[in-house]
Amino acid sequence: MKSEDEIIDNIKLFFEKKGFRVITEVPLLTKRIDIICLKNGINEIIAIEVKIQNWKRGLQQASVYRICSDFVYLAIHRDFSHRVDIKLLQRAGIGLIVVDEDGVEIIFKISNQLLTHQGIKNNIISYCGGDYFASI
Amino acid sequence: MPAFKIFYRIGMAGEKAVLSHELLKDAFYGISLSANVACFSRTWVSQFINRLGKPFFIDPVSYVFQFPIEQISREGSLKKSFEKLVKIYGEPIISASEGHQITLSDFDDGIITSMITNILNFQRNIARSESNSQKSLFEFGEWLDEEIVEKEPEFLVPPYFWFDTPESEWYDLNIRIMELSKDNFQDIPIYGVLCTNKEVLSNEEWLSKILRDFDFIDGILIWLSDFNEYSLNGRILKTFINFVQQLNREKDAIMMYGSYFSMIASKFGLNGMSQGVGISESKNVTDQPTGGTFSRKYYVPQAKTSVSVANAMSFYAEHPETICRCDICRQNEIHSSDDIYKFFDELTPLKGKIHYCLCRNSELEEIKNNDKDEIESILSSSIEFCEEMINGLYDIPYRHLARWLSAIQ
Repeated sequence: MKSEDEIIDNIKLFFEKKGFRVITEVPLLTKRIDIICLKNGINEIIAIEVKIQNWKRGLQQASVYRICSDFVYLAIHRDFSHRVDIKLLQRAGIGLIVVDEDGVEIIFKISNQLLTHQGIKNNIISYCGGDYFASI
Repeated sequence: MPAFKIFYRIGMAGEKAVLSHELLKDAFYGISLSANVACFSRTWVSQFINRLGKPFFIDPVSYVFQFPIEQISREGSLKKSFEKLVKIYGEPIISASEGHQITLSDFDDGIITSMITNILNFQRNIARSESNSQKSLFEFGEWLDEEIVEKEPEFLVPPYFWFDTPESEWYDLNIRIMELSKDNFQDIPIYGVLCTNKEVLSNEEWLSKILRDFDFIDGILIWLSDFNEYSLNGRILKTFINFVQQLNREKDAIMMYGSYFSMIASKFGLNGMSQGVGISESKNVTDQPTGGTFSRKYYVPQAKTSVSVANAMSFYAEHPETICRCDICRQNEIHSSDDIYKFFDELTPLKGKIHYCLCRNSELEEIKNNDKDEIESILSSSIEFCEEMINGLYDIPYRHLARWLSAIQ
């Protein structure tokens, strides 16, 4: 498993099993977030940037998602996870997910330290069908 | 050394409101237009030029006819703006537009002279609108005994073609076109276009030839295809500085597409640049000519580059105290991330573009008022700021700053 699509599929399955609604390629102004996870009844957004190995580029992109999410993760293939500067991720309030053929592992979770832009967050919830979840 | 001239290149009407804004009255030198835009929108272009009252020039964009015609076609037929233009330009451009691949054998002195006459007269008369309202305005001026001067371009730009080496026959054709333009239009400055690849500058022999051959012309417009100041390595940027240093200081040397690095090059002999408002800071000759599109971006003065609004928002939400203090940005009280979000919510494309031009102008002032060593320390401070505050986050590129610094050191 060495393609971004395969990593995305694995993460999707992982969070869906945990009861999340998972949407891919979610618009954030002129950008797109690889994965958004939403849970019924909890008004929280998890945003995930997926990379096979280029964690530095992934961190740049993931850090932008903090304006609209409660939790942000960088997901990377296990073969390259030893390269990641964990302290830098922690300082930025970004968690790490490691993925391989055997599954998905959340290495650490950290709450976004930046205040979110409520308007953009609401747009994302509504794009992902959050209203539907609120009503059931 | 004359002041560095920034010519903003305008597309299909989009920049009118920006460039005529009160805040930008003294924030740029002039404007430039592609001939197809000028020709397609002649009425508003002529009114705009006369109302703005600033210097301008027209890029004849003749190089496009050297390449497959599909580049300027839509759904199998020539784009409307080019359809109009070829009628003005005449042969051999008309044949090129009909699918005949233009070659050097299409040109002799007679054909060149008639093409030059058509193209340069078109440029010269662009501000003389044929519209009735414009004519009435001039008649009214005469009646009031006030002279309303119809503007002429600051200089004329003869048709030009891209060449890969100065040993190519396209290069010789360009020189011949410039010579005949000088002969036929002696009462107005003629600026020749050096439209080639950046690699040409690395060859000392070619460089000397270019400098020699362009010396008779009144000014030079430099277009190095795909010369992206943000991505090029220090070695190529240094070669460019070396080239600029050898140019004749008594004549204008203007980058056709440039950015902050071109402004720094003013310390070495460059004295102008043309660029879109927040766009067109570089261009490849094989890029499709468009009227110019603007995606919502924000110029980050610390990194001297434009980034998407989401990226800028994520950075400034964490560092609100570092937001720009130009006349647009300081209209808002900003102390917190919430203030930043509100600021970006209210930032219209118009405001974003004005902010861009104001930043450019203050950067130019800073470059003008400091010597080369001081500019090196300005760049060093910017690098320090970015390494401390951006440091791999926010998706704001800043590595170009170090490359610029190494190129001028």
